[in-house]
Amino acid sequence: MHSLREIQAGFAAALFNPAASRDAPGIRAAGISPAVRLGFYRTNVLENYRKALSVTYPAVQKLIGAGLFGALAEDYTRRYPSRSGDVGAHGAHFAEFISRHPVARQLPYLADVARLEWCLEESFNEAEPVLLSMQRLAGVPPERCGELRFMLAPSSRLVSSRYPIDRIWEICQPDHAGDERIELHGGVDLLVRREGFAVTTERLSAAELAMLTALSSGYRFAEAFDYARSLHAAFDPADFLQRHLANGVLADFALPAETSFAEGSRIDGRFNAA
Amino acid sequence: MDGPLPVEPQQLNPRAGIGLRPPHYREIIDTHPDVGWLEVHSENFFGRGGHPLYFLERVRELYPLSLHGVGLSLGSADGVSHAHLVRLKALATRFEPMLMSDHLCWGAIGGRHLNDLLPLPYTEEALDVVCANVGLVQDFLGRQILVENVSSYLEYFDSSIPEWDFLAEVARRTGCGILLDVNNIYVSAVNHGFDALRYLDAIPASSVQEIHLAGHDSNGLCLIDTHGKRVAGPVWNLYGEALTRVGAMRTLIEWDSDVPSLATLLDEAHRADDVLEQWRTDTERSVPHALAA
Repeated sequence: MHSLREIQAGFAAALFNPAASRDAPGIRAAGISPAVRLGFYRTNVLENYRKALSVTYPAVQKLIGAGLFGALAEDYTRRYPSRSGDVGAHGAHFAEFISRHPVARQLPYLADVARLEWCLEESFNEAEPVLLSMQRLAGVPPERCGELRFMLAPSSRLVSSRYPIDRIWEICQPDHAGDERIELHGGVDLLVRREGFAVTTERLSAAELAMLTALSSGYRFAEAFDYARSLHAAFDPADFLQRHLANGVLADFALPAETSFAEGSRIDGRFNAA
Repeated sequence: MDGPLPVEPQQLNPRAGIGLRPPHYREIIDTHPDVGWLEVHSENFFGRGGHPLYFLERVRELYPLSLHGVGLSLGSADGVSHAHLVRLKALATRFEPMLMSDHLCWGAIGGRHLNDLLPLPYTEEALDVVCANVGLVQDFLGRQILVENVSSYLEYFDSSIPEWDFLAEVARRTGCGILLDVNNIYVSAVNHGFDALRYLDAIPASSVQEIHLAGHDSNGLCLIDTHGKRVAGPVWNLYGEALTRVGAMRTLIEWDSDVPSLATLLDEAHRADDVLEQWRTDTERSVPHALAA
């Protein structure tokens, strides 16, 4: 008699390692060997993961073909166990896996294309942003604008690559017509954002990327601006604000005074509770 | 969502519904076809926002909805994931589904998910584990769930309880409902050589709240629950047998691989509606005889 845990652990081990089929406890043969019966499940499970990954990573699949993609999906599934009952969450580490796979030596941009596709997937399913109040922003005294801390919309993502992965992604789309050859030189900094329910990708200047990265890390507007201007002396903060307020990427803001007040009251609350 | 949401109009005259899959989201909303209710996979709506949840809101304004899970892993020795339950409860609060369900199976062990509906050994220990997990889920959600029998391609030496008794006992101990998958009973009956009618006879009719129908395939050695074609003839026959035991029952057509046109799905649902209607007609006709007896 085996415990439930022994049976389930043995089954799971044999599922991903056919050689371990013999160790899977207690499966009745009844005309078909236990190894063959486990194989039915192995087929289903691997196919399930392959399908889920191909939905999230169509451009990666287009670049390497369905055959190699299937092999990669299987290898990934063995090395990176799913940690959620939601199969859609399984692909989170696919780019990392690809970057360590031999295929990355032949296609050095492949992992970055995968990273872009995961960002598109995340953005698609993210929460709707809080609408930033322009009235409240207009009420900030000009001399204090440098202290503002902006928050990026939940559905925005920043992706950088040494390759033009946005162009590579484009030629992989089913509706792409025309030239499929692209110049592989020239890296890109990309902003992935959602407009309504549609996810879009656009290129950023190095200074814009610096600005958005700094703001998303919690730096004040003036600090982020100093950083951006160190990369590009002519960087115009007014242009930046206008563009990323209009597209909704700057989704909320706080003044440090408000922040420290909030922190203070939290501490008070803790003392009171104690 | 504004205003009252559609609820099932009747318990006396249940209808057929379809499993709503992504290829049909838009068409369902645009055409609003005549179908009794819809069921979706809960996990497909675990995102924090965006298009899928927006679509489900529009769908929910048009139809009664059932949330059918594939990822709770009710039979896992690990127990049930709290994070999974939190997401499920958020969905339940937002969409007010008429039914919530998952499977009599396991899909995770040692923190590793296999994302499949794997067969349990039917032992006293497994019974305790399933009942504890079902109880925890129902307590957390604050409502009853339905538990569905799965197709299986293997059995364990350690199993000491027939699957039908195991399922009935889970319902008895936890107060959960039963989602009777007639195709799964047929597939497992063929694969393991048991009598499907014996299975139906053992199921407490009062616990059954939903029936599933789907297509299966053969891989040459076993029947496999592929949900990739029309419901097979013998499964329609078994469906009729199920209705004579549990009464007219809301019935779902599931189709998950090689998903066909919406028209084909609706056609299958209407066939189930016809069977339900025929069953009611026959039953009404037989009432005088019953009274005479």
